[in-house]
Amino acid sequence: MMLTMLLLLLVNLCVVPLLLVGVIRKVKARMQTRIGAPVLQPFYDVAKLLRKGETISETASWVFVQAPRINLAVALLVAVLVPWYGLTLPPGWAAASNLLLILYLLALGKFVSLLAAMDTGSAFGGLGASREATISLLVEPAVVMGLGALAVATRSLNLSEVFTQPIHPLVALLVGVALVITALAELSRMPVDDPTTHLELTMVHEAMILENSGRNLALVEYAVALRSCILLGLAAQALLHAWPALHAFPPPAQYGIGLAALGVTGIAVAVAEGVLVKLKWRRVPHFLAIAIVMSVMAALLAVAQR
Amino acid sequence: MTTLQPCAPALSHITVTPADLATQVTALLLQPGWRFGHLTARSLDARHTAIDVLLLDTQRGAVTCLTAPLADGQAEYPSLTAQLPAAHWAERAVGDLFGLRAVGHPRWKSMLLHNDRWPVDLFPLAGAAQATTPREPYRFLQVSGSGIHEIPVGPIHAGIIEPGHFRFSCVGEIITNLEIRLGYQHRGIEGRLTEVPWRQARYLAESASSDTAAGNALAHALAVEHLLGIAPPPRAAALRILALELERLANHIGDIGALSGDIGYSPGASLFPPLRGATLALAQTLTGNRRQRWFVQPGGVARDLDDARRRALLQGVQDLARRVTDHLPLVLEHAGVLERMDGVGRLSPTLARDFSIVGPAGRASGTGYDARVFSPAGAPPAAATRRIEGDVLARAQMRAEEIASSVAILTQTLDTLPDSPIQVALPATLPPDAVGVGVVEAWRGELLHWVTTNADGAIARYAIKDPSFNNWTGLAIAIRGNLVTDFPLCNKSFNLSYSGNDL
Repeated sequence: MMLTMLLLLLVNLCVVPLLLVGVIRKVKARMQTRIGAPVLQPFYDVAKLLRKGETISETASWVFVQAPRINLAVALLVAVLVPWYGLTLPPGWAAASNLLLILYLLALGKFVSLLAAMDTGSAFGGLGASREATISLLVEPAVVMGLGALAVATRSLNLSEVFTQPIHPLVALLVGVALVITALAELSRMPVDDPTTHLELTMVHEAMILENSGRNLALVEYAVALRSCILLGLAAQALLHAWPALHAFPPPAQYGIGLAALGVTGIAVAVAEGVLVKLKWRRVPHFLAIAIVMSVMAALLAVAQR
Repeated sequence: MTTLQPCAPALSHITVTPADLATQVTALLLQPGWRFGHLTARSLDARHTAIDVLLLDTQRGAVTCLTAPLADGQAEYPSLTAQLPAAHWAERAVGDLFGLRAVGHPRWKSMLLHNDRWPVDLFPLAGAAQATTPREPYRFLQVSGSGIHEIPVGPIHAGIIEPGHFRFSCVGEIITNLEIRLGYQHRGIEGRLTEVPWRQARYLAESASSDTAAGNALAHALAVEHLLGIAPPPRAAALRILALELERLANHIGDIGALSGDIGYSPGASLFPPLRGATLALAQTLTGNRRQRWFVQPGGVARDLDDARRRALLQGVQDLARRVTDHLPLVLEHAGVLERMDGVGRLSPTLARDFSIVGPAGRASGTGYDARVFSPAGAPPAAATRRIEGDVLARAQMRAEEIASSVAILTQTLDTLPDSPIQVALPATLPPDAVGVGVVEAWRGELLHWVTTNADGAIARYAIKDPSFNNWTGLAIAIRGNLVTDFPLCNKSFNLSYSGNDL
């Protein structure tokens, strides 16, 4: 049993993140009547980048070189700690999946990547970092309040306990949708940022990593895929908890359901990207306000339910 | 079908002194319907130069040329820019090409020639013994104040586009000033056009800006015909309209798709490029190639349209019109698109008039000027097609309206194609000391080819004024006070030519 769990964890860390990116791209391509790159293309890309040389700006310091490594390490750590539907962690690890620890580990990763973006001396890096910081500022209350609502509902700050206990479906639903919205912003996807644009002046995340190349870029891409998986995974799990009946399934089937839910969330993101228009920059706070309001409502509901 | 005849604009010529030039020009421009066309210089002989100003009377479809010869050894003339802001780039271009300084120009600096690339005393079009003033080092406008930062973009950009440098001075995300520096594509087309044999010059003239090949070829043909005093046969005139309107159609359709792409709206970005491709295929049916090169020529056109192809073209235009009408609401009636474009990059009607902004961009800012008044051939669809909002949305809607009017013009012209030869014979030589002007409403707006011959009947000066030459300033003004993230969208809504500007 333990071995199966470890194997599944390994799959979660190494296969699912880039596969999710590939699936999202494929769905988007199909929606635009294109055939699109193979679903496995993100794996090929990372493999290619790992073999390539790096160009590092003369003005960049060690921060630029080390940031993607720190960022990836943090993302891997969080991916291990975050509970996964149908995946039981060893008791010692599960104790560490503290809600606040996870939140601020994610923030640490973001902080490091902001530093790296400002380190290169390129005008775009600073521009992207400033925009990303603005978005993070708006995302944080929504995430803290949303996960906080779950914590209040289950009287536990430990996420692996939170997701094993029954939650009021409405709380789960509100938090789930709020998390999807914040994930879109946090991961620089439409309608907050267009991940496929070539226009530097409009970029958020891509402007930050314009200077990265080769192995450095591979680590960044992989870390971003992991973060997508973590955030969309959290959202998917919160949504799944709106149906308590699913708890009746045995763990392997639950894992499958969790994976399917993640896939569906990914496809939903892709479909949304296919029809949405990128928001005016001044409208982004309005969009994120939706998530904040939903989280607050969930929190109030959770308090009322106690 | 007499209306299909492009009329040669009536030409009047006035000689003034450089000191009087500004007064004279401003006085003439007070007449209703008159507008500033272009300003340039011309070598009279090895020592002497003159400043030439072209004014257009849009009500009568006439042109007036003012010539101000400079005294021997004089390399300066009083600037017109203070009274006529639209002349500001033209005077700077004259400074680079002829080494003549416009005294009193508020932002005097080089424009086309960059000091790190070209010798500071190189003036490609100046006479051999003419007095010149050396080019000064380029200085960007410095915006000072707390929190101002600069973002340099280009000259090499992401994506496959032409080179140009944009210097943004910003407070946070807000652009306080944008300075556009071009000239990276300067390749001496105007100079070369005076050297090549005039009968072959059309191949070079139409490459001034290749996305406007039909427009440039037409302006060249009109200018040469004006010079020679001939008119093309009615059938050729009609075929030229087809070429011009197909070019407009293809580019406007492409722009709607590109605008969608810039706001991340993928349905628009994926539906319109195939329609543009279909339009280019129609252009190939007409001219034999998708970019419509080598088709329009002085005296007529190079290739006739037989009845089978005419019917195919008519069918193609109608199919295309149906698909475009089908797809346009997906973009221009989508709430998200409207919200995104509304109020972004607003260019006020006053500034649009002062800087002589042309084409759809000008009409989106209330100018109401369509250079097709100079050629009843492509009669402007309706005087009513103008807006005053002047934002990205208005420029997009202007394009949508012009797509519809181009389809109407194409259908009507194809339905009533006159029967005649497609070419008249050209005289062997050009008349001496003559001026020919070709005015065309290309898809970006008013395009001028302005040819002057010397006493030997050779082309002494061939000036081209691309619509982008007016409109780059419009872009720089429109983006002020907007957010940095809105620049690419605003830029795309103008969609200007670098090569047509740099020549």
